[in-house]
Amino acid sequence: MSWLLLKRDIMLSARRGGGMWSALAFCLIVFCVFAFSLGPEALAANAARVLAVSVLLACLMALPGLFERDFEDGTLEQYLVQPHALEWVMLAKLCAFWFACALPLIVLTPLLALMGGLSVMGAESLVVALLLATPTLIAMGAVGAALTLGLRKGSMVSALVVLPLYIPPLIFTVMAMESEAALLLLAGMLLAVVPVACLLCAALVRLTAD
Amino acid sequence: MSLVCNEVACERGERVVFKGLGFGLSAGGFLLLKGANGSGKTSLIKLLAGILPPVSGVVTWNGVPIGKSAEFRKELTYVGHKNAVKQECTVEENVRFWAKVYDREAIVLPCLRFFGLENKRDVPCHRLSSGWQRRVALSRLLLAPGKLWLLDEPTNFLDPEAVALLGSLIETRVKLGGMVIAASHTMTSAFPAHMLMIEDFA
Repeated sequence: MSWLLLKRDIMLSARRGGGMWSALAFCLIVFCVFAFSLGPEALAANAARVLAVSVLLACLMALPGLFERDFEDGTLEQYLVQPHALEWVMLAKLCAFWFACALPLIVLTPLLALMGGLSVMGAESLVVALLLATPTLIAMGAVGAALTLGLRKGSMVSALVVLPLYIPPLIFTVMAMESEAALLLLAGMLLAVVPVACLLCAALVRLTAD
Repeated sequence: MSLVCNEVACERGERVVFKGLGFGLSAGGFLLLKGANGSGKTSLIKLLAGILPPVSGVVTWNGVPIGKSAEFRKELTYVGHKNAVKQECTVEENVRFWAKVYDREAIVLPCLRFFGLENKRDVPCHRLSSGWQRRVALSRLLLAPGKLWLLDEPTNFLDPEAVALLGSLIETRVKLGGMVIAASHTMTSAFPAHMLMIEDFA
């Protein structure tokens, strides 16, 4: 079922379009805001930091929709009564979200990095760091989205809960430009955070369904 | 095969919705839950589906509490008052997704035909009326292999023809040894059904 769900969620995201395109547009706008405020020289020195923050904020903006539609149309209830473990359903949803939202952002990153004055090597390192960091960011954000599911203005509360948690992966993403050890730390975080997030999301979704 | 609800109580916030509620249903049983709006029909259906935990009491499937019974999940088909229909997908895509989940893709077309959805199979669900969307949701009843059906207001938005279709489907299911519990304040049954007035347990 998880594989079917993964394929369907990616297809639904592609059909809706809105989430992916607004995340890309948001990332681009945040990057431009930093670019204009810093100026070319400061931007070249801080391009990796600016891009990491832009991607982080774009992911954060798209995350409230992760469970919302399934909750509203009753699909989440159907997942609850299936014999398959809800934790696997959550993992499938996180993976689908990464493919639909984070991957296009990562594809956009090298272009913005080069525009910002980062070297080709630097852009490559940043892409690798983001490939490892974005699943962690999404997993953390998913817990916030599950925690505030069904709440009015839940996305604001979710952002407040999740943003402090984003600081370590953000630091390691920037550090990964200079140190390979930071990549290992990012990989370690990914392996630790994703399973825990799936367990937490499943538990929170069960509570919300009450 | 038996479903037993023993001295079950349910609270929503600080309000006691029902308490001391008990019944048993065995193969070939059809139970109609009746009650006014807000009397707890949906809460009871959710409780029986294992979505909502009871405050006290226990619901068992073949003697095992439903929360611990893997067999119960396999036998359960639940249609809530939300349709679980994806608006961006066509009718056939929606039906086929659940057919794949239940590994019964071979019966997608007969299922569409039964619910009169054959001519609308390529129509995106956001273009369908609420009644047709309800038919798409009810198609899960034919796709799922489970013997126990829990239906929350299944006749919502349906026209008389579709209500009759659903009635015949329930009757066939019950005659074949299935179990059906439906919550509705409008539904009646043309064949013998047990009736439970939920207000009696308020």
